[in-house]
Amino acid sequence: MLRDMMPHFDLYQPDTLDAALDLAGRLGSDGWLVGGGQDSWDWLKNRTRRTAAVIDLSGIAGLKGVRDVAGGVEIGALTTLTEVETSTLMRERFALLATAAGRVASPQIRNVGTLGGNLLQDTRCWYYRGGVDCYRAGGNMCYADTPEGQNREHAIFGASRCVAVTPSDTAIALTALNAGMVIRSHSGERVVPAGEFFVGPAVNIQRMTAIEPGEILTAVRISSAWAGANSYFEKVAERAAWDFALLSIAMAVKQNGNTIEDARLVCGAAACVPHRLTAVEKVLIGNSANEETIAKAAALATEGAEPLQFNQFKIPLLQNLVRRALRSLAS
Amino acid sequence: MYDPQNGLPASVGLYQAKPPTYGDVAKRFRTSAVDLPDPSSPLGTKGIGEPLLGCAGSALLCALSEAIGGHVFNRTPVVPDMILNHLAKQPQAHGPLQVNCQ
Repeated sequence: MLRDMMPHFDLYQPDTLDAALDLAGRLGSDGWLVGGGQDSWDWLKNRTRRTAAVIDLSGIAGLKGVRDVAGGVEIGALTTLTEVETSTLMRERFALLATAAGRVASPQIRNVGTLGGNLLQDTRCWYYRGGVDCYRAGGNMCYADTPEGQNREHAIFGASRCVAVTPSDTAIALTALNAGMVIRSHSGERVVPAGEFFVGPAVNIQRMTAIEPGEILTAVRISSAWAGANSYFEKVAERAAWDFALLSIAMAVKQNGNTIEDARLVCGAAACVPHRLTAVEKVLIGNSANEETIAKAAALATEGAEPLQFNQFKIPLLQNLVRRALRSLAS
Repeated sequence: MYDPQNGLPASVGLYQAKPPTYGDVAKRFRTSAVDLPDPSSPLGTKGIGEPLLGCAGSALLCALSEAIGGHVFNRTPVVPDMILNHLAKQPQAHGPLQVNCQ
């Protein structure tokens, strides 16, 4: 709910990455980084959060675009989702990410929203977004995990006090492709694999990624290892556009004939982080995607799931998504 | 969606209330006039717009009943959770609708 107009803050619009890093280092947690603003402006206009200063990164040309890097790609964090979706390089090598980017929100939001912003957006738990003092907001309870809590959109895996889920469609595709997140700060550059970049509530209940104050996500690197692999992406949502996933799946598979040599399956909106289905991957490797393997894989997908009061529908849904993903290999 | 315990409404934005977008409606609508006056209105007139939502709702519920093999849902909205729970033979998460009989 937009409660108000834009609040007051100091606005910095650096045009080089060095200037932005200086500002981010100096302002620390007082400097709110904005890419496309599709998540940030909601927080600020709702007055659910305040900030002393905003660092607008959209003027930094070097953070935009898809580049060829030794058979893989490097995508600037400020590249719009539309560009990720339509880039020829991306469609040829990593159709999984292009498809996922094309399922984000609506065309208007994809034209403005950036890949970095989509990865770094905060959870959409409606209690947390509504400004309640829950664990994630620094309080001492979870409103969603109560007998009457409306938690149909919440986690079935990896809950730890907080039951919020990752809202990002591109995050699961990038985790399936084993991408590296390039993070810059005053003190240099570090590359964090997607599997470690996203953090759950057991690690840090107030943040969803490994980014520290003063750091900037500058690019995403995908190595050639999974280029051209068979892939499948499906997002289940109640509307065809402008909706967050009830559950989603991203799969990358390397096959030799009918035999699966390597596989990575990741599901979204099931846990606070992109949830890798490692047990399913193990059962697939060395087998072909026949009905027997598919049945085993589907059953293993939900092993260890702990549904809440209103989200047990995610169990058969996830099993069905795994089945559909694997059946796509046969056709 | 509404949290009864804390009195909090969830659908407070357009992405949460989810009105259908053009991607969610039929590509082509076929319409025709039945040319029958309504006997219960003084001029034989009928409403268009809102009154038809009831017809659309019941038509969809009938289609759903046929698809899942039984008259399961006597209510709207029917959300994906309800269909999935029914097909997976899991207990439904929602309770019966509360009716005001006063």
